[in-house]
Order: sequence, then structure tokens, then C-alpha cells
Amino acid sequence: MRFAVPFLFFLLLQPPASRPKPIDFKETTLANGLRVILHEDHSTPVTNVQVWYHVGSKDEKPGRTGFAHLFEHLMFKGSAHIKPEEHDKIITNAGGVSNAYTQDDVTVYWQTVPANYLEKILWMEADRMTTLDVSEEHFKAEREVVKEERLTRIENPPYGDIYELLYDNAFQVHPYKHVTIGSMKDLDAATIEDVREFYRTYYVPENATFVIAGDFKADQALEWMRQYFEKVPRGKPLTRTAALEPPQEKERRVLHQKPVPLPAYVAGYHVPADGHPDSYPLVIASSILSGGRSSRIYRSLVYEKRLALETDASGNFAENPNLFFAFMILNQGASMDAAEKALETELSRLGAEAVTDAELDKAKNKIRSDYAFGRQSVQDKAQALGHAAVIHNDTATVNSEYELFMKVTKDDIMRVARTYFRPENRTILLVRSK
Amino acid sequence: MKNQLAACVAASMILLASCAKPAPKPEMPPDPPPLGRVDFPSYEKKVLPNGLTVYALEYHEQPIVAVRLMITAGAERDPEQLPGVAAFTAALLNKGTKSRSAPQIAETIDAAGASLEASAGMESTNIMASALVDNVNVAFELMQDVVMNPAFSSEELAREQQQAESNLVASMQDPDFLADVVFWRVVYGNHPYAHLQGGTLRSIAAMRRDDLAKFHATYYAPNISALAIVGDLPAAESFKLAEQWFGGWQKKDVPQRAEAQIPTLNGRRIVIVDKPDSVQTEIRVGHSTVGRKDRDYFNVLVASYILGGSGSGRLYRTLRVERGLTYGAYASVDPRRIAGDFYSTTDTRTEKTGEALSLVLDETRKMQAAETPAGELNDAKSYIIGSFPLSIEVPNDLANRLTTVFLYDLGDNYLTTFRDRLAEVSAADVLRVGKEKISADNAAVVLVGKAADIKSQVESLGQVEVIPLEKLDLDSAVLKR
Repeated sequence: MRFAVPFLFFLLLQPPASRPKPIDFKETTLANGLRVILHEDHSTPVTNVQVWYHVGSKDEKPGRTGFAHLFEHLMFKGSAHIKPEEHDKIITNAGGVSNAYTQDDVTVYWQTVPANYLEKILWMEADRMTTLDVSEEHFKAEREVVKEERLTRIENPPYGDIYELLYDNAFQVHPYKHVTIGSMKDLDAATIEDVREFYRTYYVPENATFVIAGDFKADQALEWMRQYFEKVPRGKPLTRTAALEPPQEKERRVLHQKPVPLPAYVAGYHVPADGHPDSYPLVIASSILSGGRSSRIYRSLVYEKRLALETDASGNFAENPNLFFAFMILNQGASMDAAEKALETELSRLGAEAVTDAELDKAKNKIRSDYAFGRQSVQDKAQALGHAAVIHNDTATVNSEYELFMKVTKDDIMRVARTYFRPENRTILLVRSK
Repeated sequence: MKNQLAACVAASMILLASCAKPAPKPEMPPDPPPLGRVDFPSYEKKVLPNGLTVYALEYHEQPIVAVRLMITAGAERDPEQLPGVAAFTAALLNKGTKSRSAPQIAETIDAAGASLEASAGMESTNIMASALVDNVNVAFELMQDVVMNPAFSSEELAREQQQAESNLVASMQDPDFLADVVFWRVVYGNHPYAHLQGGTLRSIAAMRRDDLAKFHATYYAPNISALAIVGDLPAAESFKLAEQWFGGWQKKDVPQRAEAQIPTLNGRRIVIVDKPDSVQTEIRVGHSTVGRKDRDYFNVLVASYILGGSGSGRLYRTLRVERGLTYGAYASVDPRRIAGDFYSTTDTRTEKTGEALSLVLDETRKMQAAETPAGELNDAKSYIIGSFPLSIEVPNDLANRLTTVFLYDLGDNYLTTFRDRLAEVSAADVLRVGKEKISADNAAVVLVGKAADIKSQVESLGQVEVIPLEKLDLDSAVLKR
């Protein structure tokens, strides 16, 4: 029998006219624990392949911040049959796109290629999952590239370090305290021995999820997956040790003085993890606060009072409890006190009085439209599937969460606003010139 | 297991190879089977009696519609003393019409879960709407109203001016922005292509309601515009919507563009914008090159890919992979009607500025010195040709492709024939444009960084001028107050 493990089929009913189309998928797990999620879409002859390794910057050991991301760069430095940088070269020469990203919780390698390249891509991913081969010389050169990336993203732009400072103050013990890029000191301290250990620990089949979306036949793709991955042995059992962050009991306020063109403000409120029942009303709250030009904060702070140039209120929902941001860059000459007060007024009002029916409808319409517009390309779809599988550990949530958003009530919004938008639950960072 | 671990620890001093997990070596897979030719999806085109060109393309993956109206007038048509008029005209469109206030427009769009945005580039103004297909009428009704009946209220203009000024003040500390705008000024001098599209501090303050109304009255005309409708609608339905909402738009006599001469660079001019708090230097190197319809355009495009079109380009390989000098190094050609920009871009830590710039110049010179090896040429061509299917996946991209054909008058068969034209580009063509259309010697170099540390590193590479950031004047062709 070629297919010893039966497919799980998720057949969804034909949706009513205006509901975004659900993503149909097939999911199976190989004997070594490697998870495979397949979505066929034959509209354009392209295929997106994403490999989600369930390891991110929150898994880094002390003194090695930035390592998960540095490691991501090294995955392009060659394996038994692929020369350094050749992975990208094969893909770009085919007209495809390839990249990777590292976050707190995951490291994701993705490529969109003309559909005829699927088998070759799977073979290449198998090669670097099993035989990564990084020389000391390449390791050191790539570390310099990552340090340049830190300069480009964090240190050189005027507001580049805001979130690094906010997280450092908002978290005491949980590893979300440090941002993914890590510190220069820790990057310099990393060794090739760390590379070896990290690879053996986390880049193992039972810690990987393959998502393939696009123009292919599911049976054929699964056959290739078995051919190239089934014999890859499991690693040692994984233990995850992210420390539990104690509840914040007092507001923290930090003033960061640096030469910025305009003052900036960001507050981070602790909120629960992605997929927690409260995360859905919080997303709706975010939309009412700052989604579009008719949203409350835009109307009040940008349009009517002209206090802010840019504003945003949104949650960074992650595998572990993270932060909901209220952010603004002030207009020239605007008073920080007035702006802070106006922003706080909007957040506390959400807990004090019910939103209107029109606001709730509007926010749900936005979700409806985000589902449709956010799932156009095969990359969008694979991304949504990977997130559901790895962060929620339940791929079906890629479709079922939609109903949870639609069920949010005005009371839910008031309740979560009261629960989380409290001064003692937040850390405020003010950035201004001296 | 333990023995193997010990062996690995020892081996890791040199190579990680021997630490490979004990997995069977995968067999080499067969080369990918040939992919059938991928064609641009079929679409229909009609010209309405008022001259508006309409494209309709069906897309059924999601119940959505993307609508893009392109008016072929942008910042190059700004009055000479008032850069930013095209951008302000576009920005004010959805800030009020004769019958709707800005908040009413925002409320209607948001309530429908739709979007409506307008912006002006150098050569065109684009109004883009997207909506779920059941709200397509809302999108068209508002798009028509903002395009045909904008109010340009003084109150909204004042608000926009304050926002634009704050934005520009913030951008003036952003090395990326500074490098781009100074580069354009050095390359194009007084030509409209040097215009700061969003306006300068002076022009933003000087902008009056009448300037916007006049730009609108002069250039917003159906006969210089195209409307692309891509979505979950039958083409006949799209044409009906186009006629219903834009059929009554009045045709106008639009003045011809005044074709100003593109200045030529003689020698290498290095401008350092001094930003003493920098830890990195932002680098641009380049000059103007052929226009979009020039017969050498595809040759120059292929040359730019070889030099630095992707992670396989020469700049990336030399600066990032081999030397670890930067997070990215690329070259590209930004096309425009009469002349495009050919430029390289990278950034590096302050102390490596001279080395990075020398390498960019060396790699550019190599494009003129020898023919590109056949393999490298084919890789670049197959990248551009192969990426075509990826660029026609979603409605917005499809609409953009169609309006671009209109903008440059590329012809109805362009989207089906351009790959054949690209395939014809030879190593001799690339070498010839390397000599005639690309130069490291007659080029503008812009460096944004800490002048005290970088000036001495680049002095041997050309004539250096340092402009302190606080003296930088984007209104002046010489860039200084």
C-alpha cells in the first residue's frame, strides 16, 4: 500500500454567496512525525511550498539571542548536493521566488515556483533538512550579513529600536522579552558548535510542517513527500522551556530620548495567546479602533484633533501571550499629553460603553473582506494553513475561525476591553528628542 | 549515538558536513518537466465613446473585484514651481465630493469592507478600488463621485498639508528616502523627473485649492485614461458598469506634454548627505537610461538583472555572499516614457563605505568589459520570463499589467509577445548596452551617512561634495540652501 495513512478529508459545504471561499486541504502525518498539508489550486500554474519549523527566537538559550534567525540564514549555505547560495539560484533561474523568515515562534522557508518545479523543491528541502553543511568561513561571513541586517532594521532608521525597547520592558522573564534579531553581543558569541546543536535539536521531521498550495495533484505530491522524507529519522524528544510571564501589576513607563524627527508613543498591553477565545473580540476591537479612516482613533486623533500623523491599535497574537499595541507618531507641534489622553479615552471608552451595531457590522465586514483579499495567491493560502497548523495545532481553524469572528458580540468587546486595556497591564514607551 | 556526537564535536571545528543526520542520501530528482506556455488570461478591451479605454478580465478564485482607473498624468505635469500638485490632487479625491464629506466617504467604504485609494506617481494618477463582488456597485459609485466631483475643500487641503509636512519632516531623517530623492535631483537637475512627487516643504505650504482644481480640470479626462476591471464578474457585466458610471465623463482637449531635455552626467559626481548619527551608509549609484519603448529597453533590463536583479546577481554575490558587507545589494531599471533610472542600491556599515562603493563601481564596469557568459545570461533571461506566471496571479496585479500596457502604449499583443522579445536578447546586445547605456564613470553617487568617517574613504573615487542634512534643500537644483 502506497498510502498507509489515510487522508483526512475536510469537505466543506458550498458557502452562501458572500462568504469568502474556504480553503480545502488534505492533511497527513508521515511515520516520522512530519506533517504534510496540501491544497490544490489550478488557477495559475504556480505552486508555493512552505516549510514551517516549530522553532523561533523564544526557543533560544540564554546568551544566544538572535540565533534562530542567524540559523535561518545558514540554511542557504549548502547541503550535500546543493552548493552555498544555490538553493536560491535554482529557484530564481526558474523565475520563482524564495525566502525565509524567523519569528518568536517559528522559522518558515518558502518558495513560489512554476508548477513543474515541485518535485525538485521537495528534494532540495529534504537535502537541507538532512545534510546541512556550513563551513566556518560561511558561518562567519553570514554572521556579518545578519549584523548588517540589524543595523539596517533596528539601529539606523529613526524609529527602528522602538519595539526592541518596548518588549524589553514589557516582559520580565518570558523570552518574548528579546526581539528576534537579537543583540550584537550574542550574535558575536555564537559558534559553529551552536549551529550543529540547534540543527540536530530543532530541524527534525517531527518539528516540521510542509504546506504545499498550488497547481499539483495531491496524490503525486504526497508520493514525493514519502519518497524524500519518510526515511528521515526523528530527533531526540523536544522539551520547550519558555518561562511563564507573571501578570503585570503596575504600569511601566519608559522615556527614550534620541534624535527622532517627531515624537512617538507606544503602549503594550498584555493579551492572551493566538486562538484564545478573547483574541477574537480583541481583533474586532482593533478594527473598530483603527481599521480604516472611519475608525475611532483615526477619526479622533488624526482627522478631528490632528494630533497624530500615524496611529495603530492592534494585537500581536502569538503562540504564547503577547502584546496589544496602541501606537502613534505625533503631528508636528502636537502635545504628547493631549495625544496620550485622547488615545486612552478611546481605549477606555471601549470598556465603558457598547459599540454601535453599525460599528460591529463594519468590523465583521472587514474580516469578511480580509478573508477574501488575504487569500488570493497560493502563498497567502499556504501561509494561512501553516499558521493554523503550527500555531493553533489545528489546521481546520484556517476556516473555522471565521465563524468565531462572526459570533463576537458587543458584550464580548466591552468585556475584553475592560480585562486588558487597564493601565496596570501596560508598558508605555515615549520616544522623543531631548 | 554518543560516539557519533563526539565525532561531530571534533569535526565541527572544520565542517558541519560530518554532523549530518544519518539519513539516506536522496537520489537526484529528474529535471523539472517542461512547463507548457503560460499565457496572460484572456481579457476584453473596449473604448467608450468618450475615449475611455476599458479592460475586463474575469477572475473567479475569490468573490472579489479590483478596479483600477489610470489617468496618464502625474507629477511630471506639476507646475514647475509647485511640485506635489498631482499628488495633492489625488490625495484630496476621497476627502470630499460635492455631495459627500470625507467622513461619509470613509464610512461608506469601510462599512462595505471595501477600499478606495488614490495616488499620483511620476507619469500617472491611479485610483484603485477593491470590494467583495456583492459590493461592487458601492465601489463604482464612490469611485465615480471622487473622480468626477471632488470638492477640494480648503479645510481638507489644510489637513492634508499638515500631514504631508509632518510626513516629509519625518522622511527627511530616513536614509532610504534621502538617498532616493537626492539621487533623482543629481541625475535629473531641473527636469520634472527630479520632482519630489509629494512636494517640498515650500511647495506644500504654497499649495492652494485652485492649483488642485486646475490640475483636475485639465488632466482628469477619459480620453487619456484606462479603466481595468478584474474580478468575479462576467466581462459583459464589467463593461456595463464602466458605461453606467464612467460613460458620462466628458472628453477634454488635454495639452501635450512639454518635452524637456534629460540632462547628461559628465564624470562621476559623489554627493554625501551628512547625517552624523548614522551607523550605516545608504548608497545609490546610477544615471538615466533609455525610455520604456526604446528598442534597447529589454537589453538594458537584462543587463540590470545580471548586475543585480536578484540574490543571484553579481552585486549580491560580491558584496553580501563573498564579503558580508551588506544585507542587500541590487541593481534595477525603473522605466519611464522618455528616460528610466538605471541604479544600484546597497547599504553598509560606515567603515566599509569605500570598499562597498568600489565594488559596486567595479561590477558596473565589468558589464562594459566583457560579454556575459552564456549560462549567466540564460539564467537572467529565464528568471524574467519564468517569473511571469507569478506576476499574474491576483486581480490587483492583473489590473496593473493592463493599465501599464495602456500607459506606455505597448500594443495589444504585448503581454503575449514580450517573452519572445526577451528571449532574443544576446550577450552581444548586453555588452553593447553595457558600453552605450550603462556607466560607472558618468554616474551619480549618493551616500547618506556620517561624512566625517566616509569622505576620506571615497575621495579617490571622484569629486566629492558634502551637504549637511540641515542645509539640504530639495527645492534647489544644487540641493543646498
